[in-house]
Amino acid sequence: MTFGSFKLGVIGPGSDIDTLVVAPSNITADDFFSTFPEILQKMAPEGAITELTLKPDAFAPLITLKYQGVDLDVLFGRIAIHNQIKKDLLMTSQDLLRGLTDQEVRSLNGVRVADELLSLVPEQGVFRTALRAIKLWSTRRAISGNIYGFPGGVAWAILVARVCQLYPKATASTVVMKFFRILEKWQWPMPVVLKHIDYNTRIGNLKVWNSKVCLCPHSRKYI
Amino acid sequence: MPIITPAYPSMCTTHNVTRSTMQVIMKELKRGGNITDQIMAGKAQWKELFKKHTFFTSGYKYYLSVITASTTNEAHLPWSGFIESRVRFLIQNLEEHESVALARPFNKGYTRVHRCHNEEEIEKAKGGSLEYQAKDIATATTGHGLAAGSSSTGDLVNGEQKTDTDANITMVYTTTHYIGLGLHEGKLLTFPQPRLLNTLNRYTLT
Repeated sequence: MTFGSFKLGVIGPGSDIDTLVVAPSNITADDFFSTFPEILQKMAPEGAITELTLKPDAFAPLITLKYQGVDLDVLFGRIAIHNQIKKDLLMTSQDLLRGLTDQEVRSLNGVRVADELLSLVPEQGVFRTALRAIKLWSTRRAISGNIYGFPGGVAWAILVARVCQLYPKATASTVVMKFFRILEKWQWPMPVVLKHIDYNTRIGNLKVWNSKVCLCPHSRKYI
Repeated sequence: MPIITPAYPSMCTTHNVTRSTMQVIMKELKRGGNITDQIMAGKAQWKELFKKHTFFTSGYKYYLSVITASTTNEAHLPWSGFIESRVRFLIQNLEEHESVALARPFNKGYTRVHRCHNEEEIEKAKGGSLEYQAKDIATATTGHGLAAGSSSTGDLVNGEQKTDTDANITMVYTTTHYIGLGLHEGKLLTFPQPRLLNTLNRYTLT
C-alpha cells in the first residue's frame, strides 16, 4: 500500500514514494528484514535497486532504497488478522490495531491517516489540485518542512482538506482563495480537525492529542 | 497552531511550530489572501502568488549560520542530520533573547565540499569560508520532498570518488543552516565572539 504524497496524488519530480507492506500477525519485523531485501532484488530488473538500507531502529522501522533513481520507503506493518489479507482491506478500522505494540501502531499511522483523509474530503480531484497549489506556494515561500518548525506535508494536506470540507461544491481555485482567508482568521489555538477525535479507543500507552494537555509549546504559551 | 491527524491515535502535526515560524506563516497567509483577492478581481495573475521568497535577498538585516563539518561523507550524513533536527531548538532559544523579535530558519541546509591542504584551510572551511570549496562538486540542499530546483546527494557520492589520491588534501564536508533575525526596534544583538557562539550553541543544543 502507498501513503504520503504519492497516495494523495500530489507527487512531483524528486518526491519519494512511501509504501507499507501489510502482513498478518504471525509475520514479524525480523522476518521482514531478513527476507524482504532478497525478494525485492529478485522482483526488480537487474541493477534497478540501489542504495538499499535496512533501518530497523527507526521511529517506524523501514527499508529505504532507490528504484531506478526514485527514492522508495518500504515500511512494515503487522495487523491483527491471522489469515490471508484481502486486497480491499480497510486500513482505517480500529480492529486491526488490537494487540499491537505502540510502535506497530505507529508504523500503520501513515497509511491510516492518508486513507482517512481522502475519505473525509468531499471531492478528491478538487482537493488534489488545491493541495498542489498550496504545496507549490509553501515551497516557493520557504515555509514548509516539519523539521525546521514549519508545517510538513501532512499538515498542509489536513489544512486544505478542512477548507474543502467547508466548501464542498467549490472549485480548486476558490478553495485556494478561501484557504488563505480562513486560516489567517482562524482562532488559534482552536485545533484544525477533520472529524471528531476518537477518545474511546485505548491501545497500549498511545496518547491521543487533547487541548488540555496540548504539547505544542506555541499554542498555550504565546496566544 | 494545532493541526490534528484524523486517524486514531490522533496527533498534532505541528508540534514543532515556534512563535517565529507561526508569525511567518501568518504573514504569508495574509499575503496569499491579498493576492488571490486581486486574482479574483482580475488585477493579478497566479504567478504572483508563487513568487520566490526573499529570505536571502531582502528578508533580513542579520543572519546567523550554523555550520556542521566533517572530514568524511559517511560521518557527515548522520552528524549534519542530527544538527538539522536541532535547529528549531536554537530558534526557540533565540526567541527568548530580549533583542530578538523573530528568528526564522531557512527550510533547507546547504551542503558543500571543500579541498583543504592544511589545518589553517580546514579551520577556514569550518568557519564558513568558501575559498577552498571544490568547484567541480555542486552544492546540494538537504530536506527531501521540497525538490524545487537542483537537489541531489548523488553529487556528494561522486565527490567521494573525486577525493584526489593526493594525500596532502583533506576533504571537508560542511552543511550550513541559515537563520534570519529580526530585532526589536533600537535593540542590538550582543553575543559572545562567533567562535564562542559555536561552543555556546553546542551547549544549548544538546
